Amino acid sequence: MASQLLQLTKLIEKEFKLEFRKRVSLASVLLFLVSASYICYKVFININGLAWISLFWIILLFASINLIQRTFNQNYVRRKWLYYSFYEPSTVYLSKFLYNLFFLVIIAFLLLFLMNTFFENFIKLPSLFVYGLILGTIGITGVMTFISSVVMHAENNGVLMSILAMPLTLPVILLAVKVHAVSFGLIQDTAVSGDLLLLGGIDLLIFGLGIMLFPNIWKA
Amino acid sequence: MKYWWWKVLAIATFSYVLLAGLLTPLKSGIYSVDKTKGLLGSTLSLHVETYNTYMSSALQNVAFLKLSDNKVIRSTSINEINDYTAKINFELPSELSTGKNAERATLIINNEVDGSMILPNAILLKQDTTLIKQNGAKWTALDVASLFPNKGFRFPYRNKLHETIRNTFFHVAIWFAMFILLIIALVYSIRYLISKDLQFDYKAAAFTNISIYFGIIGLITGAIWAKFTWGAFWTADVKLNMAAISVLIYAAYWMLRSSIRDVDSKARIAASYNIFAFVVMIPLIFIIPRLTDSLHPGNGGNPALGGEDLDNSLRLIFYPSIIALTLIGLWIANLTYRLQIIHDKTLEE
Repeated sequence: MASQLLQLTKLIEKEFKLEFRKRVSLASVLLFLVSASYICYKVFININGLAWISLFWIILLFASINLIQRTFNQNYVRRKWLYYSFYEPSTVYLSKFLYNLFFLVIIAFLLLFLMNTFFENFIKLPSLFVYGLILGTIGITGVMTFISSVVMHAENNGVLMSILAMPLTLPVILLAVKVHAVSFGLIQDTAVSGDLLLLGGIDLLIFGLGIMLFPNIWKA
Repeated sequence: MKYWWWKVLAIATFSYVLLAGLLTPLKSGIYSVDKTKGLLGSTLSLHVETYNTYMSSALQNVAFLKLSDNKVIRSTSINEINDYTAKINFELPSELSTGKNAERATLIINNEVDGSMILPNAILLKQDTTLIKQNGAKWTALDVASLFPNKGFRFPYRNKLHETIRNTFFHVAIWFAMFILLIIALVYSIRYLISKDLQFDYKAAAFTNISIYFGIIGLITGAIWAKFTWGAFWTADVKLNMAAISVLIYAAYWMLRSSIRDVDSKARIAASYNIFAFVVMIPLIFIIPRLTDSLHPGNGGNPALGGEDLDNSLRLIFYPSIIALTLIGLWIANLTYRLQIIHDKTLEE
């Protein structure tokens, strides 16, 4: 267990090193965020709360596709013998998951900052908003990480990634949008904690399935 | 005989579903009434259109306005214009005597040919506060034994559905069949991952394939049904959109299969994706529709499958229809699987 934890930290450390050696991919995601939210601002100028939430999640969804489809890219395939011989599949998957989650949470909060700069701030219940955001991000990361491992061996995997992942993120996004609508005061819901619990349950399900099924995929 | 008895069963059951489902007539029902309100203490004259009735040939037409079993007004006269239109006159009593100012009454028409037709909450009976006329009309109790019973095997008449209630056998049954086939595909995917035997992968692919077609047919039959009952081919209804999304998820499965060359990695990846997709689909179909309102039965105050929407006469055809469609799906999947095997053999030669 302790050795696995050590391996995990090693792997995540290596991910960060690789990422910051070539900063261009991370910078491209950040640039995507800024330009997408700026285009939304120029097109809409004034929006209501519901449009704010929809734009937020759509931009976050596309940013997450851009960010996470590189998880099992050519770099990984080139180094795959290293992974096969030294690490457990669950450790590899967990490291990728945590690394993606880290960046997606940062991106989500950055997007929140951008959206609040360009548009007005609608948030009435900040803590509820953050819970919905974190749980939604975990779910999206779970789906995207698994799907990026699925398309690793496929041709034209960029297109395939969006086709496969987007319908699967829908349950997470629908629930997160509902939680956010409550946090904006758009709908009254006293049972929102049930929704949060359900969202957490779906996240757990997605993560568990991913870590369970990954050993079948990574050596395919 | 040993291997193809279920194919005969599939054809026989589906022919039975088609014949019985399309040929059985509906019960008689009241299509429309020209008035929705009646003033107490006066004469109420209604122009009623009925469906599937033989009112001119019936000799003993009688109509009732019913508030409760003990509060019923019998019609004073019925003029049958033809088999499906009639003019009915009621002498309304001067008081509701329930303490309320207004109450909705159910219209019942009964004769010896068609049995009873019921239109719930048809007429709003209102108290006239300025003027209370005494016309001698009294509330009486409904003598159920004097009503003529409905005859023959017939489907229920529902006021918005009319003849489209038969679509239950096709639209609803095909979703059930699709789900059963998807479960079979899931089981084959799991068995592939355990045994790594390629024939299970082919079977899973064949079952998923036919499920997608069933899903598309389910969406189309649903769209046509929605046009005639809800007024539009496509609505924002949650079940509709979740069903469309699940068809998309499985269409993506097909895309995934076609974009991986190596047979073994294709099988592994497709099986893993199939398990993942099935589990993620469950909240889409079973949990999220329960959180929001839907026009479908069982949601947003609509009754679930049951009651008049699925009575015993419909069940007699609905359940065999599920079995027949599942068997047909099994049959098609079986053929696709065998075709794949032949395809592989020709490639080897």
